[in-house]
Amino acid sequence: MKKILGNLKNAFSLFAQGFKQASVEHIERELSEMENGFCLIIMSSLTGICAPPPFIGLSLLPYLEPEIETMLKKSKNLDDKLAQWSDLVDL
Amino acid sequence: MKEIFFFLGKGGVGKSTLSASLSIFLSNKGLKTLWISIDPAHNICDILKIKPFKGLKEVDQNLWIEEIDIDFYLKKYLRDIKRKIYENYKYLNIFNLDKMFDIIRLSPGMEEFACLYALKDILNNQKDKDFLVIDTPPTALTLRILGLPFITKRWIKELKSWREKIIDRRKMVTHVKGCPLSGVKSCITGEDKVLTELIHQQEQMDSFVDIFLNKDTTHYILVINPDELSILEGKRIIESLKNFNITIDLIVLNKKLEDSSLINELSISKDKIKYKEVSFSKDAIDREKLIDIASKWTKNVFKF
Repeated sequence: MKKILGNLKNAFSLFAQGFKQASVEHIERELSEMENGFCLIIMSSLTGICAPPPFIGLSLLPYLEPEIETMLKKSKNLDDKLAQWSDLVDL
Repeated sequence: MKEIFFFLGKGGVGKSTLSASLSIFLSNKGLKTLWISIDPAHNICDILKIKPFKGLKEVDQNLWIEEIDIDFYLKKYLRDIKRKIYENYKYLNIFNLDKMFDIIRLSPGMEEFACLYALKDILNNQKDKDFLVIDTPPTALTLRILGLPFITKRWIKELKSWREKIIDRRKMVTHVKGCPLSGVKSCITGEDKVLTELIHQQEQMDSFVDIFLNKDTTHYILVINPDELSILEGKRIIESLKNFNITIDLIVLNKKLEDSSLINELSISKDKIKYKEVSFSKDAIDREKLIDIASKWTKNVFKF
């Protein structure tokens, strides 16, 4: 009986981990898009988007390393839309 | 700093001459006066007939002057940013910082920012002065300088809200997965330096807005000539400043001619804004003459 309960507990914990992982994946994807967008806006004078005053971007630049990493990763994949789509639909 | 005076108007209307008259008039009364020019084409030293110099200097009893060196303040600001970048970035070989900063220095908007940066520096370091008299560049640049804090505040508001959402998502992911997040430092739960910097910038812009909108201490003097173009530009200045809730305290019609027919056509409302005239003078304007001019156009307008 004790063994069965233990196995059930393990099974439920695996389920819970799986659900957690799935829910976080969506937030993580949203987060990386937001970080990418934030960085694009800050550096928008390079991309032709409506830009905030350049000194705002300059003042934030020393602290934007993670966002620049995300932006560069995303721009590397811009030519691989099919792979991105496959990723999004979880293929 | 008790009071600040901005002189606005079309190029060549006499902003520098009238700002000179006010500065010399105030210093002559024994009031500590700082007269600065944020016009890249300075002429304070020319008016005072002294050799141009860098920085701030007492040129007469109670009179200090500075022709703001925009490039100096821009370089000072960029040096500070460069230092912070070197402190925070791991892989600096991807940047050619010096070359990049040489180009950024010339980017649109940087000149206006450098003027604000210089103004902040002066307001922080010259608190012992009673009056700050500011000779401004012609209309377009001046309006951009005065409008910059208002526009920047709106951008910062949006960027802050965006950043707060990012921090929120990071906290959610960190809560479930723990650090580190996908090899990126974004799950650091402590202080977010980007948000802190945005708040710092917002505070700075708020302080400029407070200064620009303080009717008791900050005065805007519009200088016009009896010609249609300067009057039309004057009207445009009044309308543009309304967008930021800045109001002109006084209009001075400089170089008034006795038979100026255009004066009657001056349709800027004299009821709402105080109005004074300064006659055209063919003679050279010396120190005594400048004091005399200011004593007339400031009479019943400002209390010194």
